[in-house]
Amino acid sequence: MPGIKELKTRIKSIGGTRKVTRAMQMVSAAKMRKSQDATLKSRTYSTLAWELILNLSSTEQVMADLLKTYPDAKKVAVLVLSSNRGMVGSLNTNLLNMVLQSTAQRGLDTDFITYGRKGRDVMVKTHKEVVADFEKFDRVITTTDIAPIAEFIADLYNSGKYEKVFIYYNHFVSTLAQKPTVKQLLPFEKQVEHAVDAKTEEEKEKSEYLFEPTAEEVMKSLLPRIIESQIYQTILESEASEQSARMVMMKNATEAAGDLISDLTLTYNKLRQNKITTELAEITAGKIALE
Amino acid sequence: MQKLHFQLVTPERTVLNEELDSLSCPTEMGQITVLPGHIPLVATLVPGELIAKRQGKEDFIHVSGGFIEVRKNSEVIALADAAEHHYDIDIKKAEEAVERAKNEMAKKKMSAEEYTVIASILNKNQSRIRVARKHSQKRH
Repeated sequence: MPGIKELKTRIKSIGGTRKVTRAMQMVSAAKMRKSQDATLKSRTYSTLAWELILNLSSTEQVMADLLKTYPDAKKVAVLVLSSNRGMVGSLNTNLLNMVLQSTAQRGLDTDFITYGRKGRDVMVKTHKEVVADFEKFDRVITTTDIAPIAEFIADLYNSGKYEKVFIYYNHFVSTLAQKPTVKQLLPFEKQVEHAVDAKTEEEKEKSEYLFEPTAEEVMKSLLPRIIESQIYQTILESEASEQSARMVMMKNATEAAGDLISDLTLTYNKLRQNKITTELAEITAGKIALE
Repeated sequence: MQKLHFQLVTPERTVLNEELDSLSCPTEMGQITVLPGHIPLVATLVPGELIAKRQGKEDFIHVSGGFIEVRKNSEVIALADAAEHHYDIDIKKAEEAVERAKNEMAKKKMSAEEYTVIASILNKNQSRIRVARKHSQKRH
């Protein structure tokens, strides 16, 4: 049984921790709203852009570097989007476990590109091949920030050494749910989850597209844009996931601290009451003894 | 009569999602007009004015580049880098931007990349001003 004094200090220190977690909750709640908003608003654009490239790549008439496939290549490249800081519960752990597991399953040589400190640290610790690390900024990202990443990945793919390029990120479902997700960026292919689609039939009888000015010209400016927009969207998704996870974690921590404080306060009061009762009993006993 | 299902989206938001009678947009090959039943087409957009027409109403929207895709079934999708209605354009700010870009181009040496960026800013803002001026009388 801890003493009264120890209890008092403990209550105080937990109160201090609660103040910190509450402040962090407020901060991440504000960031969360912003990043969720941005994510949801840009989803339409990236979905439509993705549909466009799928439609185009299923027609035979266009040829561009980024549309080539390299089925004989022995390597895959993986872009891992993680957070810079912790305190996000199991968000990073789940994602990185998934990365490591699927890498092992695939059995191919995998080169990693990391974005975010947590992911990089794990990859380095597990002795994976990290070919590039891009700094994650603690501010709202713009498409210009993405350009170097997109360019790097395009060059990597064009080198012909990689069969596929994947992005691993946390898909933002809701404030309470984030889903570790893998997306195949290159070559442009229908994802398995979208494969069972009512449109499939209709899309088979693909009509030829007309290009203006020419297919090459359009593709030259279009493909990098699409890669950029897909990376941009996944980064937004993982940012929204991170902030939501952190907000929820901090909220839980604040609540847990509150529970702990009320428990301890109860014990503290009981002890204090006990002490008073004992003292009173002693005094009364002493008085009786004197009479 | 058949209609166009038109969506105009930018990375930031959906600007327009409506049924239209016709659509004109600025492409690299010049202004084109898309009517219902158009064959599938992909074209690059250049800074300029996009006109969305439907019964008795026209929308004038400035786009600063991007892509347009015409699908089967008269679905039209414009992926614009940025887009704004003509009445949302701040002419003063655009003029300032033009001024700034011109100054930069005139005074200092720069790499080819920087030059392209500034030239495209200049181009974009000049076309914003054009679109805004053209419709400024109709402003309410």
